[in-house]
Amino acid sequence: MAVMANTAATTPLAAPTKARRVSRPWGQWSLRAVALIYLSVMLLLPLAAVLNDGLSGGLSGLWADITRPAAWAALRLSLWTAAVMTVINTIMGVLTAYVLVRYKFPGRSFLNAIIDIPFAIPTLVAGLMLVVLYGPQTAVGGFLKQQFGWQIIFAPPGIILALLFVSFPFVVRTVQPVLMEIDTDQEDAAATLGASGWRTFRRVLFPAIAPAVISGALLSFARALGEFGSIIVVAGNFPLRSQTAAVYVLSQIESDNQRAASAVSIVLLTLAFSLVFVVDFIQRRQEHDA
Amino acid sequence: MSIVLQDLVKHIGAHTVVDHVSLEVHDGELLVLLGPSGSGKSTILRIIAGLIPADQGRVWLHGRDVTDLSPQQRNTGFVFQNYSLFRHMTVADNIEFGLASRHVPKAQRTAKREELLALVGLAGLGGRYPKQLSGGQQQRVAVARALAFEPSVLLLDEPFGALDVKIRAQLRQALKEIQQRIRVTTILVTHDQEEAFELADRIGVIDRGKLLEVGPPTALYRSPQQEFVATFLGGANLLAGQAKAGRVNLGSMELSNAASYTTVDPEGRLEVLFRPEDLMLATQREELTIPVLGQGVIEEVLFLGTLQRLRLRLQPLPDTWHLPPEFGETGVPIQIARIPRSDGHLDFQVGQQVWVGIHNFHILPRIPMRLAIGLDEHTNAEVLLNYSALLARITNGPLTVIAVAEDRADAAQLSKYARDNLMAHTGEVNYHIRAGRSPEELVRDLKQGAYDLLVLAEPRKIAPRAETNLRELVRRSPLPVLIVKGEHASIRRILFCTAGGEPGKRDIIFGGRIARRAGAATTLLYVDAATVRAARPWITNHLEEGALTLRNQGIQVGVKERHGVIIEEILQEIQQGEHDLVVIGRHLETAQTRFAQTDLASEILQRAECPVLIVTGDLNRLG
Repeated sequence: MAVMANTAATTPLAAPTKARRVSRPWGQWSLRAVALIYLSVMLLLPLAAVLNDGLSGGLSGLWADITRPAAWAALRLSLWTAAVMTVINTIMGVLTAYVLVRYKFPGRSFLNAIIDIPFAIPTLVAGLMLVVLYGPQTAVGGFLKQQFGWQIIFAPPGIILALLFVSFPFVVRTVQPVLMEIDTDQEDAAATLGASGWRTFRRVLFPAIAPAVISGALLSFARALGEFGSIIVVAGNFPLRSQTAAVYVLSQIESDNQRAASAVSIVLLTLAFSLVFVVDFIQRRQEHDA
Repeated sequence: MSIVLQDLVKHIGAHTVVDHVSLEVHDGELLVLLGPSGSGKSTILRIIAGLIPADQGRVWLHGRDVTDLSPQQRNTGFVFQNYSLFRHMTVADNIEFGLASRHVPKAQRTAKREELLALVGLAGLGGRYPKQLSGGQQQRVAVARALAFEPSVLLLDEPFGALDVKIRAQLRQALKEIQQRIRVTTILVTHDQEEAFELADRIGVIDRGKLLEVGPPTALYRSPQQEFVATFLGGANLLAGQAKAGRVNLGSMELSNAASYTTVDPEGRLEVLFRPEDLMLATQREELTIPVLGQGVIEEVLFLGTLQRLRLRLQPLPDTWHLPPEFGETGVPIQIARIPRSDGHLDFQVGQQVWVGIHNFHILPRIPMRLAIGLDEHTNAEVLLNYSALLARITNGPLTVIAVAEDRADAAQLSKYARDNLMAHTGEVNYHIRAGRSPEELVRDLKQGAYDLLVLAEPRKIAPRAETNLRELVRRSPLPVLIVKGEHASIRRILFCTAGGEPGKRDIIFGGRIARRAGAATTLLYVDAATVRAARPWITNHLEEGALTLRNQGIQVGVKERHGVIIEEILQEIQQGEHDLVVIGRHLETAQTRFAQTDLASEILQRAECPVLIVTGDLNRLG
């Protein structure tokens, strides 16, 4: 009886939905078509244009464009500064996330709020701040140059600092929610089993947050490869010395060498795409695990 | 002694989660800490493991003071409620974790792991991950992990909480066997009394951070010393009994073999406990071969498999009542458990008249009302102390004088004055000296000590400071507060004010305790403030229920209605009726009453000429 009553109750509800679907099938398809056309025009078309342009000299032409000394140096500089930044950012980001989640201290919510600042302020301004702080004429910059012979601005250290600044939130914000979900009982259990703090982190906590750490790291690396605004301010535009790939693309466009610009862009695009796919894969697996 | 806890105290915020707990657990013993959720039992376990620091007190494990050691150094095996297995490790790695932390060689670890997997009945499952196991299997892995490094003690925090009933029963048996085989000293925390009975060598009952009683399950069940323990463990019928010339009377029956009891109540009152299975039912009085308690009507019959549970209501019994007193009911409610006969013979129906006999009972000492006396520099000390001595004589309870002053020497002086004044008082008196701000220090003492009533007095002379202190105390006191006004040598007539509408149940039950002990006559007053007179049956009803509650306990009650301005009518009634104590309830504080300070209680307090009892906060024990 109960089952019968149930069916009777649901049927009148289900009927109108079905009727509407049958009467206007094109409503559903038109919505999908709009989304697909929009995506093509906005994303795929420009991509195709760049690919077409970069490959207009054939594969060998592309290779020649990429291996030109200035281009090659720019790509290398971009890759190694981004890599160094990613290592530092990953370690410090995990640490910051841990402190924010596990400890209570005055100013915690303030600290939590300012982590997103790099997302909010223009990257040009971020670069400017670093120049004002570390420039050769300033107190801090001058001191570092005189005492240790370290040049920050217009040199790779400046690039790394700028990259650290603009990509700081990535690791913190991916690791933080995962950490929050992990019960403190896990750490307590490890403590009663005699594990030191480091061992607990390495064996218990890290395996649980590793996927989040890796995706955070890859995202910040991808972000760093394309960073332009802060770097042009901090590093200037000196070919072979402080010119990153993104800045190189700009200089090639300005000197009317569009094909060289496209070639380097294709390299950047390929890297970015592969990273996004890897992150997507990790996150899917993480969801599957949970 | 494997585990010794000495005077542990833990506060979380303003809450005392663990309240002076001392406990000794013998070698190889399985002790169960049993208490309702939020009673602080898990906190005690975490303090032993070192996961939470105690504010006060010490912990010894096998004669070693571990109070200042980290959890890693304490060597305790801990099983968490949700098991907290490491998800990214196999079962084998989970179990070996404690050994690996201690740098035990691989070969030894493997041997130990296999031994434990066999012990918990999971041999061959070492390669699985926790999520591939059922809840019961996960729990066994957690036990194995906690035992792998041969801990000095095993601590289990609600280990069966997340399992379904059937598996729970199986695992309980398994755990008991494991514990007996390896003889590890164990503390298990649970809120499930069935679990406690089945597993425990001894049970410790905890309520609101206090360890009330510790003992073997049967002893705690059959002869508890405290009301909470009696009612928390299994079903309990508690009635007020009467001791007379070495015998104990319960209604019209005399209990045999009741020689050994201690009663501290001046009227010879004590509490008689009988379990649902201590009773027998019969349709005819003659069928009962045991002492007969009385006749009643069955109100409910529940079938529970092996057992049948019945609720019935006895006709009113002379000079006895149910504890705690019920509000607005006649007769005595009784629960009975019996084994129904499989042939259906002698089954009882709802509405049937039956006779009830008792074949077993236990007598609990009746705890007297404990008075806290708040004394500061502004208090009219003489009035306060005289009245307190009167109250203590009536209730025959211990007095605690809490003397508070900004300066410690002044507080000591106040305490000395009280001592001189109470010289003639024969009962037990304690003195607490506290330096600090009066309301703050007093409330702190109230929260720590075990009291039932706070007694204060009006200020000696009009001082705004004293007024605000008094008001703050009334507002913040966790106990009912009695404020003494003027000299009164006796309590003969008590007025219950029910002006707001319904008479508060708490006011009537708590005020009734004093009225009964003082032998005072009571009046329930209702003031109708409405200009248009109309019959309000629900109010009459409520007043009748209130009166019944008092009458059930043998208290003389009158009901009165007046019409007019509430406060004026109450004051007039106090004068005309020559009442010498006014009882008023205090509703939950709202922002409005807090700032306006014009609620009825404060108004009566200001203008009445006699002592005022304001019933507020949380009442521990009623009756």
